[in-house]
Amino acid sequence: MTDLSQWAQSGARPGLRIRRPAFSPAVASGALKRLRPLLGWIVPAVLLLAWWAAANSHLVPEEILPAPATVAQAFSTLITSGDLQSNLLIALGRVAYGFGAGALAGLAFGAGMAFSDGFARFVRPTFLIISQIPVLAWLPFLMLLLGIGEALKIVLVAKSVFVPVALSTFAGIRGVPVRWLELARVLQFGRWKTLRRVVLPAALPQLFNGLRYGLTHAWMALVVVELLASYEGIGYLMIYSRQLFQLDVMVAIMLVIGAVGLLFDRMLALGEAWLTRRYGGAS
Amino acid sequence: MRGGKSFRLLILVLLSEFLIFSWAHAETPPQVIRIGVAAEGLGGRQYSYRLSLDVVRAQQLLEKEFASSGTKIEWHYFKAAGPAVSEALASHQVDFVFHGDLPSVIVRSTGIRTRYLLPLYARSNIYVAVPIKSQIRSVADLKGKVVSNFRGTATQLVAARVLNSVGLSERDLHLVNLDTAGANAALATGQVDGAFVMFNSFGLKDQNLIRYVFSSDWQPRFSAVGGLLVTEEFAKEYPQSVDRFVKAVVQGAWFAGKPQNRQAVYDIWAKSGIPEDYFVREYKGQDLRTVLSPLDDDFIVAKYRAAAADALKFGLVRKPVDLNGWIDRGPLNRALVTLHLEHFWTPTAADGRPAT
Amino acid sequence: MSRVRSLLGSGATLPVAIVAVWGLATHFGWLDVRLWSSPAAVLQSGWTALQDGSLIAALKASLLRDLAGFGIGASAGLALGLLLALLPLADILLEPTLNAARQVALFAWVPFLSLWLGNGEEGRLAFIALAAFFPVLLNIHLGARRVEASHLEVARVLCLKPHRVLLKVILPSALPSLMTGLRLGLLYAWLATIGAEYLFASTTGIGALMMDARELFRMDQVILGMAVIGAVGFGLNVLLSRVGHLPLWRGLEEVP
Repeated sequence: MTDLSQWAQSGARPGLRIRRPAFSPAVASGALKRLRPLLGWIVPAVLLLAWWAAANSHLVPEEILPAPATVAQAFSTLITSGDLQSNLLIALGRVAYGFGAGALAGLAFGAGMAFSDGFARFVRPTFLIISQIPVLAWLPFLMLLLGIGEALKIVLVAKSVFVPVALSTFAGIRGVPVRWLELARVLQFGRWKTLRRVVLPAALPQLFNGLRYGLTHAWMALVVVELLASYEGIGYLMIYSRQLFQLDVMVAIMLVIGAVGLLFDRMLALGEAWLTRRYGGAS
Repeated sequence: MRGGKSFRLLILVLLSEFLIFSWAHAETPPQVIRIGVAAEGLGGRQYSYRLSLDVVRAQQLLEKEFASSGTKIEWHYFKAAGPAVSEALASHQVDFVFHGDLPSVIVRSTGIRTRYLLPLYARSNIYVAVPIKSQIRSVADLKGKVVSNFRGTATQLVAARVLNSVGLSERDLHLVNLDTAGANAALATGQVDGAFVMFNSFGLKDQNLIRYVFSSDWQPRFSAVGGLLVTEEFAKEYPQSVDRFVKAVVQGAWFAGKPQNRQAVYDIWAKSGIPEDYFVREYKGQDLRTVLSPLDDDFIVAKYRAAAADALKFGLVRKPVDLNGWIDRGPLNRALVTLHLEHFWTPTAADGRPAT
Repeated sequence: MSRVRSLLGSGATLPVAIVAVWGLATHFGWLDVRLWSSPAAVLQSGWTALQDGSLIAALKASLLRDLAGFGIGASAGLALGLLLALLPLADILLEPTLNAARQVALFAWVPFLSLWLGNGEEGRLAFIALAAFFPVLLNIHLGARRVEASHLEVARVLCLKPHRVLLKVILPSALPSLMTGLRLGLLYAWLATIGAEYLFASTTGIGALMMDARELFRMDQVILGMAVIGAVGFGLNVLLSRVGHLPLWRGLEEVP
């Protein structure tokens, strides 16, 4: 069950060319394959050029789309004043804590559900309820409970991480092929050894997938919460600039948000690749 | 041929009158006029309060004025106040707006072209509220605390001035961007240490959930103002409609300014869901004729100059804002003449006292 | 005894216990009922809202918005995804950019959409469409790429025209992925609908109901709103998993 079709179905991108797609032009030409990463830059370059041209020719008014130069200026101001660094650090810190807490809880919960049918039955409806109510719907209620401080952000980030991780862990562990478990019994692996040598490697891809989802959701949840209830952080910078109609700052912050999201994705893709190379996964 | 000469003169006069008449009526009125109001009532009610515009709405003065030309009047209320109206201006979704002084000035500093017509309220009051159990006793105690502040609105500017008066700046506090409802909720539940609020928080005070540590007591220096603006493109294309619009607003302000209509005005404002009793308490001792004066007098000019200067000083705009040529007194003056109200309102001098 | 045990061990115990504790706590004043509301109050307000039609109206508004935005976003995602699958050059050029755009947290788009499209329905629909766009695009793209090389060989041998290749070969193979994509898209669209109602100053819909309730300190309505939002999300999930013959669990992880 832990084959790649599952990866595809869960929406994860295979990332670093772990598996060649069924039909791809790059397969045919080696040169094209080497050029491929460069070719990917063409469209962004064209867009940047178009942006610069539109702003320069005043086709698009400044109050709708600020010129690249102004945005760059806003960037440098944010950096020299230290605002960007301090707020970004705070936001990342929140993600770190929230992700850590949510991932650990999710792993534990998912494993618990996978190993104990009774536990799964007991918690299933509650889990469903919590998972189906999105972060935004929880916000007013939790704002009341936890105030506008760190706790609110971390709890909401943790919630957004918890659900995908728990589900992926559950699916991953439950998805270990029965043959493998039988083999482990035949080879007289102890419980611990079975876990380490059989269950974990088999479940790893699915687990990682959950973590990847979790991180994406964590970042998204953090941005939302900081938009609506915060006095520092990246979302805070965005709302600050939005309210004061400082479009260049808004664009700058948006680029930062995108860049961080991209970075997270890349990081986890690399981690996934490394782990798969080491532990092989199911074949 | 004396008769012939005067006859020719008569023809000339009649002809020129006819030409002027037809030129003056050359404008085809718009099909729809969209009004953006940077305020909203409780629970999403599509009414605002504190403005002379509310009287205009309640008495359907605009609808009546434009009935003859078949123009539809659309009212849009924005819960997210000034900033949301600014966005509406940028995306060409509105023609006339009610806007507080700070957001108007911010919009002026962008490329969005507007004309300032007249004030819709010329005096306001602000409070600093804290949760009932708080140890905070004065504005100075807010230093380092988490305070709610509706960014980008006129209230933010007043708050900055209040802070400045005790030697603090926005950077000395942790400011959370919360709208009116959010601020009230956060105060009541102790989620923030303080908030800059208006009199719509009286209910919380009555329930002993909050306490006021500061009231600006209607001092002109802490007062915000809010006005009626029109987009440059609308004004260019429909100058006559602008005049008619302003005329209706002046009529509303006139109604509101008459002492005997005070209660009626409160009743109109109560449509927003704010209890009528709050208005009685808040506006006690205030002359609605002054508060809702539509004059573009020295006081208003000074107020907007101060808004531009303070916005720059407090870092809310990043370059100086040029207000020259922004205020268009034409429609207002014409309306005052048409309605014979030239002497109903007394202009106020820049310092807030009646001009002599 | 074992019957009691099995009853206690069933899934219903925990939710019931929580509700019971909540009810007791507010009844005895351990929790401030003004801030926490109570199960009875929530049920009461739900009943009232049903009777006076406000709940149905809000639901209708939200769902219409959701489906409209989803329709726009999903069609765009489907079209683009198929295009990328059919034109390898387009794929090489556009995929990295699209992947990067996907990384921008959905809510970071809000200020721009409200600026370019205003705070009205266009802005909201655009936001919802954006939320649905990427999951659909991603999954159809993956699904189309996974088409068996042998099938494509046959198509090439038969000299099938591109649109026939699309209809007869690619789409059927990609169908499971498409279903997953649509389901994800629908869930994200629902989330975006609520978000749009919060952030684009809506006067109708469940999100708007919750915002107004918060203003008026009606915590019972806030909790009711939460329950309704969760229920609809769940309902959409169930609906699409039935239609797509996918297990219910899969895809639940997608609710952020």
